[in-house]
Amino acid sequence: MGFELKDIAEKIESGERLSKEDGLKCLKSNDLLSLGLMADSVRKRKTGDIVTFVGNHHICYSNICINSCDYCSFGRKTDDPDAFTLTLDQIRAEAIESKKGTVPEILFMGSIHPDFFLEFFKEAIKIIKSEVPEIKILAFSPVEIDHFAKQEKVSVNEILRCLKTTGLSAITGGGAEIFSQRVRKELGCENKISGDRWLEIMEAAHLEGIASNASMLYGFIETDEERIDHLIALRGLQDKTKGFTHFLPFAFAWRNLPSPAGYDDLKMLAASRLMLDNFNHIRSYWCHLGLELAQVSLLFGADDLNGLKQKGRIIHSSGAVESQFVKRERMIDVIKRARRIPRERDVLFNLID
Amino acid sequence: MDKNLIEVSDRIERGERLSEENGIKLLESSDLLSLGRLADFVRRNKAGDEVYFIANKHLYYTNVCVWRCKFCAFSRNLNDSDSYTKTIEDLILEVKNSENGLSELRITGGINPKLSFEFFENLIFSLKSAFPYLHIEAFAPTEIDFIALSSGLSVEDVLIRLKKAGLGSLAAGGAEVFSPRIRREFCPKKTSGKRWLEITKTAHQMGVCSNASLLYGLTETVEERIDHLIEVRNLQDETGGFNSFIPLPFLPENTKLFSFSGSTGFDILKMIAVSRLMLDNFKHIKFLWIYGGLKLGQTALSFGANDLGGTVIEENKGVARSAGAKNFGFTTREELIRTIKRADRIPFERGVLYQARN
Ligand code: SF4
Repeated sequence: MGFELKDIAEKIESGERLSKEDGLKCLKSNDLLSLGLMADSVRKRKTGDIVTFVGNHHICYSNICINSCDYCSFGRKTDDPDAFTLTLDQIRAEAIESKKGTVPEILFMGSIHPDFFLEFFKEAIKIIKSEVPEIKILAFSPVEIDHFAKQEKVSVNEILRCLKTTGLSAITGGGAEIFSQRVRKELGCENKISGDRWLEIMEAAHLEGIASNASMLYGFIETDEERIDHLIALRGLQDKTKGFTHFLPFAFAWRNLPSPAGYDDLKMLAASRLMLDNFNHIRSYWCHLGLELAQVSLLFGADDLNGLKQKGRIIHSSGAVESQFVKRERMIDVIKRARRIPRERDVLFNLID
Repeated sequence: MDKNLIEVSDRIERGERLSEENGIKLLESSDLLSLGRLADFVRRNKAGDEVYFIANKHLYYTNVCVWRCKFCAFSRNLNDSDSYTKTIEDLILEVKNSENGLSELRITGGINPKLSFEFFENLIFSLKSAFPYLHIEAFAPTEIDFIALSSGLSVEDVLIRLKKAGLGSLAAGGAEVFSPRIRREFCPKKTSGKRWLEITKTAHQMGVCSNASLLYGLTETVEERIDHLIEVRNLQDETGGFNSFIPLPFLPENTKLFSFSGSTGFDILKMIAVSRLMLDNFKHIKFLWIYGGLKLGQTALSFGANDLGGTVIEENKGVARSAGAKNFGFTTREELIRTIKRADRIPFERGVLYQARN
């Protein structure tokens, strides 16, 4: 093992928390396999050999968005020719459609729409729940919650409570991007809620009993330090609330910047696994990595391969190839061939038989 | 570390040659990261930190093939509507259109009885005359076998004449898995493994070097894979004529073998590592990045690979694509260089014989 990773390895072995400097060393090191071995040992300790995935269905209600983040090509203005918005009836139809598969999760998502109000979404959630009562609904991110609170002129807690009573199980970690204000400016999403606000809303959600995931957008313009700071901020909140189900780093391609290389993806996963000692699960995004490398990432700390269906359009906007779908059998085969145990899960990481 | 690897690992550290049993243990282990570290250790000592690539162009003169191997999605029957056989003029034009910065032409095709020895000789001669500075790597040993059989010439004579016409080296291909059992099932008409080795040996003895490969992910056993590697290793001991070894994952998409799940990322990296460890007399282990993408290719550099293949400029109906390679196409020199540098390695643009390009 490279000399620079020796003391980190010792800390990992004794279960000691890694410091910011340790995290930076991990990202700086090019000893990819040693990072993998360390991350893999942590993974084994935490989750054993089970690799989870989720059968999911997406309902995307609209692409009309008031924000215009530079890196996003998903959002449209109301009068764009390809702008769309689903009606409640269409949402009901989608919910019925989801019953065709064994789907434990519906991801209900869209943009920050100027004329939709909380009432509409409550109605939509009720409809979905009435069609498929056993389903867990994952919807909205802190960005939307913040937006609703402003629209309705009430506190985020109130919004969260109300959505929870309606049937919401979890919110997504969307809008976290990377907390560094400098990078947010450069990405042109400084109008989106700040990193601090994101954390605040997540804390509120967790305290209301709504789970969520945590994510980080990484690529080429942030420094190693900004990456690690982001992880440490998440770790801090997780200490307090234990509300994050998992963490996923995802790479983005932006303008003419090259997309991160395989090394960077695997290193980022390993560093996340090592830094986030209070997260149970690390998820790898096969849509970005390709299924082959995603399989390999199971050796670099990941233990979840997420959905059979990826939320194509939005991922696409952040630079991924295209909307993608993988068959259940293929997913199971890929996991087995990594000599791990495939299990389907729901949004809260309960295993499903 | 997987305890089954400990003995092998000791041998590797002492620089000892691995046995068949050792190889089988390696392939059976699921401790991929440890395999990677062993292979990476060997790679560093044997081949240093350079990572090689080449600016090349693949030319396919015909996709008509009478052998129709089951794993091949490239070949067509003569009267299929999308079969083609190109003229020498077409091929020259094709090279002209993408000549910029090339250092190698790689020419292969199906087994097409309509083509005479004169065609092959002319093909090489004309391309070499039109592009004297390009190295011509052409025909797999299987094609040489067919050319000899159909022309009535001996393998030696075929090689002598092609060499005179401008042939620089033989292309990898047709090795598949040597196991007769597998060949019977998947490519019964093809040159046998034994014959492949013979032809290759003849070529090497005449100073025509070549590359070795292994097509894996069919129904071959681990023994069959390892035996293949050992055969290759033995011939290399004898002749030293192989430039590199290329493990080729079978990718079932587009072939008739839909029921196969093919090779996954795990298999691909493992096979690279095991090839590196078994083939102690090869300096270069190549991962063709078109078989899995640049991201996986870059990762393979930590598992024993030191060559990423070409800045492939490939036409639409190329073999790799037909065999299901998803990342078909070409990458630029800059992207390859960046990919290599970001793995903390040294990019090295090579000629066919691994010499530096000037
Ligand atoms: S692999 Fe070669 S010999 Fe076999 S069918 Fe394809 S082109 Fe013909």
